[in-house]
Amino acid sequence: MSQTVPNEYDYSVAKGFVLSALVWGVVGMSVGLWIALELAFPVLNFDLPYLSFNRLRPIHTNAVIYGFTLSGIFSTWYYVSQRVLRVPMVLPGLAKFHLVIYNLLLALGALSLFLGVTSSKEYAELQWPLDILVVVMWLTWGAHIFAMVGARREKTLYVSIWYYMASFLGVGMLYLFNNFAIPTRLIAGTGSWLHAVSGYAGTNDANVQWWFGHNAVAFVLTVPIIAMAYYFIPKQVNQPVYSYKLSLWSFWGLIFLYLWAGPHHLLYSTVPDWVQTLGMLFSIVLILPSWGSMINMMMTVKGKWEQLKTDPVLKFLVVGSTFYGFATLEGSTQAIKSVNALAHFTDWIVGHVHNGALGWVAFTIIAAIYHMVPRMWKTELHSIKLATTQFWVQSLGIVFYFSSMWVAGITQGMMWRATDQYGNLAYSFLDTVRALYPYWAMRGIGGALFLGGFVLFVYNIVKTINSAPKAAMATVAEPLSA
Amino acid sequence: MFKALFHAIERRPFWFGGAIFALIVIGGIVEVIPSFFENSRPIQGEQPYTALQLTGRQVYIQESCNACHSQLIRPFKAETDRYGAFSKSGEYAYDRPFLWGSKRTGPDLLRVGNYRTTDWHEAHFERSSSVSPGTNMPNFPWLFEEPADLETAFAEMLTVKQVYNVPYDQPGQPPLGDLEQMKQNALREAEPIVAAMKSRQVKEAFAQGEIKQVVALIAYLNSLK
Amino acid sequence: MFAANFMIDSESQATLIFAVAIAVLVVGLAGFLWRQMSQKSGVQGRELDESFDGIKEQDNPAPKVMHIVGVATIAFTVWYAVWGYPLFNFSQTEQYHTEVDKYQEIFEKQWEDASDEQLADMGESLFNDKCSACHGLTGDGQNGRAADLIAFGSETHVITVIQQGSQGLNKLNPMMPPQWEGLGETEAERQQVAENIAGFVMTLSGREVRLGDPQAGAEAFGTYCSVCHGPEGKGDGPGGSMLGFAADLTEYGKPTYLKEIIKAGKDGLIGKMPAFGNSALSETQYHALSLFVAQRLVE
Ligand code: HEC
Ligand code: HEC
Ligand code: HEC
Ligand code: HEM
Ligand code: HEM
Ligand SMILES: [Ca+2]
Ligand SMILES: [Ca+2]
Ligand SMILES: [Cu+2]
Repeated sequence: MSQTVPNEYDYSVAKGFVLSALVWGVVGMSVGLWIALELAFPVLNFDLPYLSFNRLRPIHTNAVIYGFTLSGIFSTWYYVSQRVLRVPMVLPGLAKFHLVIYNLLLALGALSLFLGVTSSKEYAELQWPLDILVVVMWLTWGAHIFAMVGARREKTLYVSIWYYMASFLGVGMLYLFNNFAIPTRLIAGTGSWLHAVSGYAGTNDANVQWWFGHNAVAFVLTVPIIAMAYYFIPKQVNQPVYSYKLSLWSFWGLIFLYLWAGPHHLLYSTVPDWVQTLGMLFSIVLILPSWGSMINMMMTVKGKWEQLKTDPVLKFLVVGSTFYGFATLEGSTQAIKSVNALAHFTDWIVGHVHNGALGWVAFTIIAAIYHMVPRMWKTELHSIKLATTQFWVQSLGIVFYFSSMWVAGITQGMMWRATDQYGNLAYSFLDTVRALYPYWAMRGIGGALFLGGFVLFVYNIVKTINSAPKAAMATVAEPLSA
Repeated sequence: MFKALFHAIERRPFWFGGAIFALIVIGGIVEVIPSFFENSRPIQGEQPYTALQLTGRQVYIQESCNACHSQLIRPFKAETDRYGAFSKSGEYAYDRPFLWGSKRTGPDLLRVGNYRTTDWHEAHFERSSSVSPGTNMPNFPWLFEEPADLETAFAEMLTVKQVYNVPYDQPGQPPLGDLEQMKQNALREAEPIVAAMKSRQVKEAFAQGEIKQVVALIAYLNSLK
Repeated sequence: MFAANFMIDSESQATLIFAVAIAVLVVGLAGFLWRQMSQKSGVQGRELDESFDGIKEQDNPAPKVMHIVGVATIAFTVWYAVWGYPLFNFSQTEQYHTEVDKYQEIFEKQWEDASDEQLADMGESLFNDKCSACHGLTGDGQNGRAADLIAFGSETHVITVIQQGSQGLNKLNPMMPPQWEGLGETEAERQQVAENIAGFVMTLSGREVRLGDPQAGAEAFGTYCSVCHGPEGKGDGPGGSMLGFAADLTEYGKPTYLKEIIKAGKDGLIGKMPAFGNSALSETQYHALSLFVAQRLVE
């Protein structure tokens, strides 16, 4: 059993995950910038397999979602859970194992994607040996969640804990089903050890994939980020959460409705019409719990205008929540059949993704890290001014990103359908590609600003950590609060 | 009353987790499972991929062509005018995994075999801008160098035959046989493709009995109709 | 090239309206909430008992906006499920066929009495979409990527065919071997004979002769070509009794001839031209396309 001094918080694993969030953030977003530039300037593919867009794109999505975002989620888990459950770290060895196996997994994942080892299913690209490692990693986290909850001293579970638990259960279930595949070498005794063939075919495979894919978004890029918002916003403004009732309805509404919305990725495909209509309807209703959470977060900041002006961390949190509202309204709209008919397959979807990913996910994680690091390392933030600069640079980056993708996506969608006076398609596909270069370049600028801001962030955090008093580098940090 | 109930489970983590799980499974049960029975039958005349086509499909996946290309024609006039007849569920019965994609940086490829040819593909993979000025599709020179992995394709074919009853070796269906026979079939399929190509590298390798990845990929693309 | 004066369809309209709506709603709501932040006191509700790491919760009801959004959303959903896209009664393929049928009806009516001029314009727009990728926007075949459609149908092309032969038109005789060597002793002589033949071939399909002596060509044609193309050039074989034995030169370069190639494709000597027979084009459109190639491209 753990030999930690009782009544003290142990942040060692949380710290480790903060560092891995920084590393994978830089990696994932640099690759993101690179592929953005490749679309605008195709020479950057350099005719090399390891640099070409097609191989790098899944590395970008995996590195930012499973690298950067999950690291952020895990670091806040190891920080927040001790505090709101009012219990010191349990099973620290398990948690360290979690940190190690997780980073190992990501490194192997990136390597295998470079080599073209992929299942092709979005957000589930890793092949079966790594899938097994994913399951082990995930169950390790789950074991820690339930161990902490079991050992808690705070009788009632705080809202953040609800969301972390939902994330664990949701992703666990979905991942298992979607990655069901048969390793071909085990059956045939020849060929690659890494290859597996999907357990589902065609339309069924698509249906399972987007049941998973949509909820990978839900239970990785939304649910645990809400967990963060419910902790860091009230802490940062030192004010009570606006409404328990809203927390309640939003939580149960969200987790129930989310699982039905997957077919909005398959509108007008060959999945049955009634499945599509259901998926669409639930996507519309989904706006209610989404905005419920968003309004709850924003109203918690009520009366704190003055602090918002001076506190960059709060800026990130408030703008993050605003983008949560933006991305979800946009998502619900894109799920409407007649809108999706135009928007699907275009850059408008990519714009939506990054409204969520940059504005909501990355901003909230950045705020969480800004909040946690000085407290975990027992020091002051290196530079508030730098953080403020970072905020404006990155916000500008997001504006560039989504405005260029809105215009590009809608232009693309309209050009694909445009007809001339003879009823013939007005543009060849290549015409529509050529029309988009200016917007792809603009998105590149947005990406560069966002990444630039992130580099400032890393610098600021590293400086902060380096300024920490030596003693605080020990695993045992802050005394347990009452 | 509600509040009391909720407050009660907020104090009982086991029930709390159980409640979450009960709620999240419903959507999948209703939307995913029943449709399994509606979708699984191959459409009349749909055949499983032949040896070389399946090898090419693995190359397509290896290169994540689906990052830029869809294989799903939706039922809109603008779409059927551009790409041909809209998709039907039964056409995908042998697709493991499905390759519908979610982003069209490049055009849909579901029926590209109807309007593109071997020599066009060869030029396009070698240097895409030579046939499509202003494209942002990467060039794929390495596909002309790397040999195709027939063993892994064979393993997949045998697996789907044994586990999912894909009708290889049945009357009127593509042959599989053992690994040696499968390789012979692939070579036979590759012959007309190599003949229609210009690349000396590909031709010389083929003379030695080796199939380059690009040949398999083109066989796959030509089969998309 | 010509300007695309396209109509904005209903999906595009819906998208534009919704896009504006999202922007307005988000800016409006953010404005409202941000104003809330600028108010004096943040806390007004009763506080609940629990405290988590110092975080308390208030007992406020959901703000009024939520109720408005709630009612609007539910109303929209009900409308959608019952009338818009009836849950168990909507079929996307039916929607598609209705769309296409309606379109065809309007289309056929609109172009019923179209002049050849208009049809050729229509053909141009089809050509740009379907053919220019290989043949180039000007139809010159982009340096041998595909057939040069400007030369096609003219003496130049006939001479090329005599030199190189032809294959891929799905005739009973699968290929025409090159005929060049037999035409004469010297290169100049061959050239002269070929030009004469080419001139004569032009007369077969009733076009203007710009090269050679068709009179002499007719004789040479009888010697070198009619074994396959028949005495009258109908492509009906040695005795003139096997229609479809070789290319019908009385139709050569005409819209009907082109239409056949467009539908069937051509696995020729330059390369393979895909078949466009199953490309969802209507007969009017095939005709328009062939007319455009025959009238505007072929010189
Ligand atoms: C960065 C995006 C990108 C990637 C990756 C990509 N393509 Fe493309 N592809 C395009 C674009 C853009 C076009 C349209 C312009 C052109 O013809 O190049 C295209 C066109 C095509 C076409 C012609 C289709 C038609 O209807 O004209 C084929 C076939 C094709 N790609 C196959 C592939 C294959 C196979 C791969 C993977 C090995 C691949 N592409 C990877 C962007 C991409
Ligand atoms: C051995 C039989 C044979 C002889 C002799 C022959 N042709 Fe042909 N010709 C064919 C066949 C068969 C085709 C159709 C080929 C194909 O499928 O493309 C054809 C096609 C053509 C075409 C149409 C090519 C195109 O691109 O559409 C022209 C023009 C033509 N022949 C002219 C001539 C002339 C002029 C001569 C004499 C100098 C000649 N042929 C002698 C068999 C012959
Ligand atoms: C994928 C490339 C490609 C596309 C697309 C294409 N063609 Fe072709 N086409 C060719 C090639 C290659 C040839 C030359 C065949 C040969 O004779 O070797 C050709 C030949 C032709 C010929 C001359 C046939 C003859 O008898 O010599 C005509 C006419 C023609 N194409 C019309 C069209 C039209 C009209 C379209 C559009 C509906 C079209 N092509 C689309 C590649 C293409
Ligand atoms: C510097 C910042 C970033 C840049 C420049 C960037 C750029 C890109 C580009 C160019 C694509 C491919 C789009 C296409 O195929 O057309 C993409 C896809 C994607 N990115 Fe990013 N990205 C960035 C940050 C992030 C972050 C932080 C996340 C998540 C937390 C993220 C999540 C995604 C996802 C999920 C996709 C796939 C979208 C889809 O398939 O629709 N990105 N990104
Ligand atoms: C109410 C909430 C939301 C709804 C209804 C919704 C709806 C949608 C729709 C309709 C699509 C487009 C599918 C397509 O046509 O291809 C989509 C794509 C996507 N959304 Fe959302 N969205 C919501 C919230 C979010 C949030 C908060 C994020 C966080 C990042 C997010 C991330 C994504 C991603 C990554 C994709 C791309 C998936 C892919 O094609 O690869 N969504 N969403
Ligand atoms: Ca996987
Ligand atoms: Ca995608
Ligand atoms: Cu979704």
